Amino acid sequence: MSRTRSVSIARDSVVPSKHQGKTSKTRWAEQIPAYLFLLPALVLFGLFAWYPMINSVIMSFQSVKLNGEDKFVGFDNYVRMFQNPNFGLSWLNSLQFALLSIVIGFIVPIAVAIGVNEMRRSKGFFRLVFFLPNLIPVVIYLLVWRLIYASDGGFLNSFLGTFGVEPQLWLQNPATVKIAVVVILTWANFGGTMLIYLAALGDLSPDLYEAAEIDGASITQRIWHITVPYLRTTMKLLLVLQFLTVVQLFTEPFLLTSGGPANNTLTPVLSIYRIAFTDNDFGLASAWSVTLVIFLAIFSAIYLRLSRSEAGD
Amino acid sequence: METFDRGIISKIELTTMGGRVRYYVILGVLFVMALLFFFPIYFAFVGGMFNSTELFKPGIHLWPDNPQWQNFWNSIVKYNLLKQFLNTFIIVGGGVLLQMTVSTLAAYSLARLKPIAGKYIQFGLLITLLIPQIAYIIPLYRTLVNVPVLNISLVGSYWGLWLPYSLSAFAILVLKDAFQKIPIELFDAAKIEGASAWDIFLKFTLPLSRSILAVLSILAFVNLWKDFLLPFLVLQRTVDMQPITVRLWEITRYEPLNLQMAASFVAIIPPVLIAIILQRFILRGVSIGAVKG
Repeated sequence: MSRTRSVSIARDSVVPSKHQGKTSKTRWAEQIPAYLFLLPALVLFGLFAWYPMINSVIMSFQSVKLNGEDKFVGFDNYVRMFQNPNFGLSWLNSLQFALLSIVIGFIVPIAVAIGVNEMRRSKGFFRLVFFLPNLIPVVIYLLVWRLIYASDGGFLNSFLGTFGVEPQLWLQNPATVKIAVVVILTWANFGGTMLIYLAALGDLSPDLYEAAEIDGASITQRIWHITVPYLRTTMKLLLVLQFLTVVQLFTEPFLLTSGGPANNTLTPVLSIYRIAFTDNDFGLASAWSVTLVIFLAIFSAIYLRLSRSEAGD
Repeated sequence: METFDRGIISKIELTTMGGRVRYYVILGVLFVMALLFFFPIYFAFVGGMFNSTELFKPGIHLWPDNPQWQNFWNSIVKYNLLKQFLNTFIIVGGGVLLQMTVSTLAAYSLARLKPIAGKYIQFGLLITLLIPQIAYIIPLYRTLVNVPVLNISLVGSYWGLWLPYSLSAFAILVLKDAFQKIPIELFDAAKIEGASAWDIFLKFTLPLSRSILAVLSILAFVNLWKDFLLPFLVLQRTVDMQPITVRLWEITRYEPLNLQMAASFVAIIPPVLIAIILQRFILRGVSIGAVKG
C-alpha cells in the first residue's frame, strides 16, 4: 500500500517536472549534445574570426612586429595614421571610386533587369551571359582586361584608332585610370546585381500592370509608377552593398596599377596591405583596419536594417 | 519560373505595331549589351589564337588570319595549368566540405538542441557577417603564422586555407532556417523512438535538406574559387601549392601576350561550364544571398 503510493508520488513528481521545463539537472544533460554539435564552429570562429577581430583592436594600440615583442603604445598608431597624407588620399580615392561606380554601374543593371524580365523567350540566355563574369576569378579577368587597356596593342586603343583617336595610356593616366578600374568592377559585378533585381521583379504581380493598362497608362508610365517604386527597397539595399564592395577594393589596384599612377588608385585596403606586409608595421596597419571596420560596420548596419525591413514587407 | 502571362508590355500590345517595335528595340539593346559583356571572354579566346605579331597589328581583329589552336595546349603544358587546377580543387573542395560539415552541425544545434546562450552565439555569427574578413586579415594572418594554444604555423599548408574557409555565418544561419522548417513532429517522433541527436541529424535532418545543401555548397565553391588574398598570403612561399588564381598572374607576367590570353581562356572554361550546368542552383543561391546579405 505504502509502496504503490510512493510510486504514484514518484510518478506525479516526474510528470510535472517534465512539463515545467526541466529541473536544472536534465537541462544540463541536454546541453552536452547541443554544445558538442556547436564545438567545431565555436573553436573555428573563435580562432579565425573572433580572436583576430579583437586582436585587431588590441594591436592598433601596440607596436607590433611579426615575430617580435608587442609593446603598448597608446594612441600612437592612430596619431601616425592621421598624420599620414596617404590616409586622407586613400579614403578620398575610395569615395571617388564609389561615386564613379554608382554613376556608371548603379542604374544600368536596373534597366537591364527590367528589359530582360520583359523578354518572352530569351530570359535564360541573357541571365547567363550577364552573370558569367561573376564566376571568373579576379586575377584571370585582370589578365584579359590588362590587354584590353594596354597602351601598345591593346584592343581599346586599336578599336578607337580606327576612328582616328590617339592611343591612350588608360592605366597610367590619372584622368582615366579610375574610370578604367570602375568599368572592370561594373563588368565583374553586374550579373549578380541584375539577378537580384530579376528575382525581385519575379515577385511583382502582373495584375498591377494589367490594371494600369486598363486605366490607360503608357508603358513608360507603368515602369515609372509601378516597376520603379516596387524595386525601391532593393535599390536602397544594393546601393549600400555596392558602397561596401567598392570601399573594400583591393585586388584590382594591387595587381593592375599597384596603386598608381601617383597613388591615384591607392585604396584603404591596399594601404593596409602595404603597411603590414611591406613596412612590417602591423600596429599601424591595425589602426587603419579598425577605421575601416568602423566605416564598414556603419554601412553594414544600415544594410541589415534595410534587408530586415524588406523581409518584413 | 518561365511561365508568365505578361510583363510591362501585354500580349495584346505585342500584337500591335508599336508594341512589337518596342519589344524588338529592347531585345536589340540587350543583345548589344550582352555582346559587350561577353567580349572580354571572347577576347581571351581569340587573343589566345593570334600569333605574336598579329596581336600588335593596328586595327580591329575579331578573328586571327591564322588561328594558332595549339597555343591553348602549349599554355597548359608550359605553365603547368593542370597542376594549378588540381591545387585549386584541393583547396576549394576541402574548404567546401569543411564548411558544410561545421555549418550543418552548428545550425542543427542552434535550430533544434536549444543551447544556452544560443542567442549570443548567433549574435557572434552575425558580427562576422557585418565585418568582412579583409578588415581583420592582418591579425588573421598572424594567427595563422602562430595559432594560439597549439603554437603551430599553418602558413604554407592547405590547413591555413581550409580552416578559415570553414567559417560561414551565412551558411549556418541559412541552414538553421532550413532545419527549423522541418516539421518538429518528426523530431519528437524520432526522440520517442529513442533516436539520439546524432541519429536524428544524420538520418533525416541532412537528407531532408539536400537541396539547400547543394545550393550552399555551390555558392561556397564559387566564392572560395574566386578568393585571392588569403591563398596569396598563406601560400606565398610554397608556389607549388598555389591555386590557379594566384599562380597564373605571377607565372604569365613576362610571357608573350598571346600565351597569357590562351592561359586565361583555359582558366575561364571551368567556372563557365559550372555556370551553365548548375545554373539553377546558382540562381537560387544568389536570391537567398540577396535577402540575407
